[in-house]
Amino acid sequence: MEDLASDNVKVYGVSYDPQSSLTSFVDQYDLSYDLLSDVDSEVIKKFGILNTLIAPEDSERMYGLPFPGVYVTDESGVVTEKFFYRHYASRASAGSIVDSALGDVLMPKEAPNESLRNDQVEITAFLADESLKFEYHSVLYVRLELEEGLHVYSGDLPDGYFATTVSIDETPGLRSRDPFLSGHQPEDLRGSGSDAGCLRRCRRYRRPGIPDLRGDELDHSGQTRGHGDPGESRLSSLQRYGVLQTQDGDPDRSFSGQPARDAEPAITLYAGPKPTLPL
Amino acid sequence: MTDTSMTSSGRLYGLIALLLGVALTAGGAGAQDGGVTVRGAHEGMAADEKTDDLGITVPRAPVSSPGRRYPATWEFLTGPEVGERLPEFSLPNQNGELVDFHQDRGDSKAIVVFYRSVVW
Repeated sequence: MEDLASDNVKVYGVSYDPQSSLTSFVDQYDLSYDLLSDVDSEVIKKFGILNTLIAPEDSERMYGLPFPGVYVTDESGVVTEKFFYRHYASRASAGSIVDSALGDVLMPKEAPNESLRNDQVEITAFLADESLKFEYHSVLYVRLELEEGLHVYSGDLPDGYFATTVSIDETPGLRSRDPFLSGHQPEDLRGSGSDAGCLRRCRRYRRPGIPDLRGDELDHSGQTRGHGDPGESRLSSLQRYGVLQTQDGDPDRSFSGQPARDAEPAITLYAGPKPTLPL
Repeated sequence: MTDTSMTSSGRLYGLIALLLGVALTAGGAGAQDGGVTVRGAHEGMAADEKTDDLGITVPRAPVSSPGRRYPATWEFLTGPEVGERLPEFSLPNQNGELVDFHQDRGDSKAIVVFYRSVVW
C-alpha cells in the first residue's frame, strides 16, 4: 500500500454491502482506502458483471453479487489490466495487482528468490508475493541480466541459434500456466515473418503460478473433479486438488474450505544442459 | 497476469460468436445482456453435490445453492475491457460520503476491486 500511495494509485473496493457493514470492516482492519456501498448493485449492473447465475427469486440475500474481479486503470481511468477468474475463490494476489498498477516489477523484500550466474548471464527468479495463499494467482518472474553485447533468443529460430526456454517442474500443490515474455522484441531473423524473439538486456519471463492445497496439510481425496471446464484442463495438475472437509472441525465454519496456513514456497533454479554448437 | 485476461477475453469473443449462432437458431431463448448466457458450474453436477470443481467442500450448502454459483467456463462477462475507460459512478463510502469515482481519483491511477461481501 505504501508503494501505491507514493506512486499516486488510489484503491477502491465495491460490494453490495450496506454502509454500516463497511464502516465496521474498515475500522476492524484499519483500511486506508474507501469501500463503496452498492446496495442495489446498480454499479455492478452498470459494469455488466452481475452474477447472472443468481436470480432474485433464488435468494433475496445472494442476488446482486458480482462476478468478482479487479480493474487497474491509468491516470485517465482507462483500464490497463483486469483480473477476473471463473471461481469466486480465485483471485489475483496483491503483489501481481501492485506490479500491474505501478507498471513495474517490484521484488518484495521477503519474497522467495534465487539467482544463478556465470560470466555471461545472471538469472534471477522471484515471486511477486511473499507467500502463496489458497487460489491466489501470483506471478513468478524470471529475469535475465546479460553482459553487454549478448543477446538471448526465444521462439522459432534458424539453424545456429538456440532458444532460451523457461520451464517449471511439476510441483505438488502448484498449478502454473505457460510462460510468457514481457519486454519481448520481435525480430525477424529469417526474413520470413517467423515469430523469433530477441531478448536484450534484463528481459523477463512471467509465469503466473497458482497455489493449490498442500498435501502435508490436507486430506487428499485423489478425486478428479472434471465437471466441464475445458479451459482449465490444460493446467498441469487439476487432478491434484485435495478436498478439505472442514477447516477447524466446525462444519458451519468451513465455508471457504481454505487451508489454515499460507504456503511458503521456495524456488530452486537450475540451468539446463548447454547446447552443443554445430561445427 | 496479462495472459489470463487476454486468454479469457479472446475466448469471450469466440463465445459471443458461438452464442449468436445459437441464439439465432433457438430464437434467442435464454440470452442475456451482451448475448452471452453464462452457464453455471453446478449445472453439470448432481443437485446435492457438496464439492465444487476446485475441490472446495461446504457440507451444508450444495454447489447449486445461490451463493456458491460460479461460471462453468471462462466465458462470462467481465465488464469494461482493457483500453476502455471505466464508467462514471458515484457511491457512498464507509462514512456515508458520496464518492464520485473519476472525480475522487483525480489524476491518479486506480485499482477498483469488485468483491462479494465483507459480511459473510
